[in-house]
Amino acid sequence: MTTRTAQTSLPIRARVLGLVYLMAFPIDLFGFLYVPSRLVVPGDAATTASNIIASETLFRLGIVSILLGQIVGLLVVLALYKVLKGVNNNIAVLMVIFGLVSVSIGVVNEFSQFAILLLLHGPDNLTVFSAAQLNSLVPLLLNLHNLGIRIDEVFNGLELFFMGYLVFKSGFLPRIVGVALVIACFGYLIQDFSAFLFPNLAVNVILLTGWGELIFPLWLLVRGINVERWEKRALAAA
Amino acid sequence: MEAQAKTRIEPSIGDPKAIQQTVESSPRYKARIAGVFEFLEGTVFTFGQVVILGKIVVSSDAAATAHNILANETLYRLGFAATVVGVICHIVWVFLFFDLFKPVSRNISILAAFVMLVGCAVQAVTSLLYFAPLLILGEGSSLSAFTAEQSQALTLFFLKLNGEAFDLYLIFFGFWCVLTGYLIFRSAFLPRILGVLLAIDGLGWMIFLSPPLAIALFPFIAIASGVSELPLMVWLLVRGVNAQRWSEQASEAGVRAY
Repeated sequence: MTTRTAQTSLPIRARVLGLVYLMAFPIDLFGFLYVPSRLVVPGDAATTASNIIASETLFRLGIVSILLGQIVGLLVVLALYKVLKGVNNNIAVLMVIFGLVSVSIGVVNEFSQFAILLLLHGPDNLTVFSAAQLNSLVPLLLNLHNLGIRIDEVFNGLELFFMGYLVFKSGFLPRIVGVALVIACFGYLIQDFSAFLFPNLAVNVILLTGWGELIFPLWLLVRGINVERWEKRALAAA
Repeated sequence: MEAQAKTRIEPSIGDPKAIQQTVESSPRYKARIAGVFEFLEGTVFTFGQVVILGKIVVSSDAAATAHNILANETLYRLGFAATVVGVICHIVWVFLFFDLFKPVSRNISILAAFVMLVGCAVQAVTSLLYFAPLLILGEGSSLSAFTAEQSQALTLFFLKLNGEAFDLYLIFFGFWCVLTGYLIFRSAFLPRILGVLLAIDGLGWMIFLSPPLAIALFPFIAIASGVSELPLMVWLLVRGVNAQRWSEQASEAGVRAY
């Protein structure tokens, strides 16, 4: 009876996972790209600061959406563990571990955006700084935030590496999706470490390499997983 | 249960793929790989946090520190990248230690892994603070409203914050050492003395709960670290673990040897 339930619900669960995973995209794009594009003026600290104050709710929504995206990421990696552990439990645990560290970094990193609000709402002890000085700290904290995102991407990238390996080996998901995920991992590693070491090089490969992160959830949502092969795998691993 | 046992796929003897798998996943092999990653993590992290910063930071002189950073920017960036690579290596050996000590106590080894993963996240945050001086001093810095002296003071402030965050990490590391020392002591496959030494070492690092006290006692903490962590690492690299006893303990505890 229980196996029967598992049989009928597994495809649905895989599709729900795909849907939740996809939801992370608009949430992340809003916080990481849309909000900064509306508020941040590169090279102009004063305008950036006044934009943030004028649209404080939008700025806060940006922070909240990033935090929400991290929670979604946490749920996704735990659900993926259940789907993929039959392939290789050790590799699946490694995927979860890198996912957990990535989420922790991502959450702590929002401190720098909150710090901007604390600066601009200047408690009394900040009056020793001039307005220009306070404003100029805003881009510094935004840069620190961007750097934190890059450090986070390294760990998120390695999570994708193990995810891609498991998908490739699974037999119940297409190998090409696994390859795409591994390519996404190397895209992050190349882009981030080149930014760390050679700041003038400005390698930007994510738009070319990052497709696996979109294809995988789409595949889960639209096609689901091959249940027959998944069960064979789960039995072999039990 | 019986039905499950029947469906388990038994690797046939002489199947080269099965033999390959056994070699790769044997506890001895895992212990050695854990030793390798422990060594790599220790080396690259020390390179970034101790060697490079030691060369660059002049603790009472913000101007000289800032000058050193800009004069050795590539080296400084390398030190930063090393700390990030160090965290990656750390996560890998946290996982391998967890896997190795599961037969001794599943709960304690999970607890140790969780403690150390929080430590890894703290380590990654220290990397962020490590890099901040480049954002303050580098080209295109936003801080034109500050005097050079103020920017330099801010640089030293972030480096000190990096040091504080690193001390925070050491507390988690210390707790992990105590837990792992206990696991080694209770294990049948590693010498008990290594566990005792590691637990003492861990208590030493946990003195960083009070940084001034830890700095006062630092020579003793360093000695405890040297006589426990190094022998453990060398033991893992050279001897691995006693695979037969590991398997015995694993089957007693009902842990499946992969």
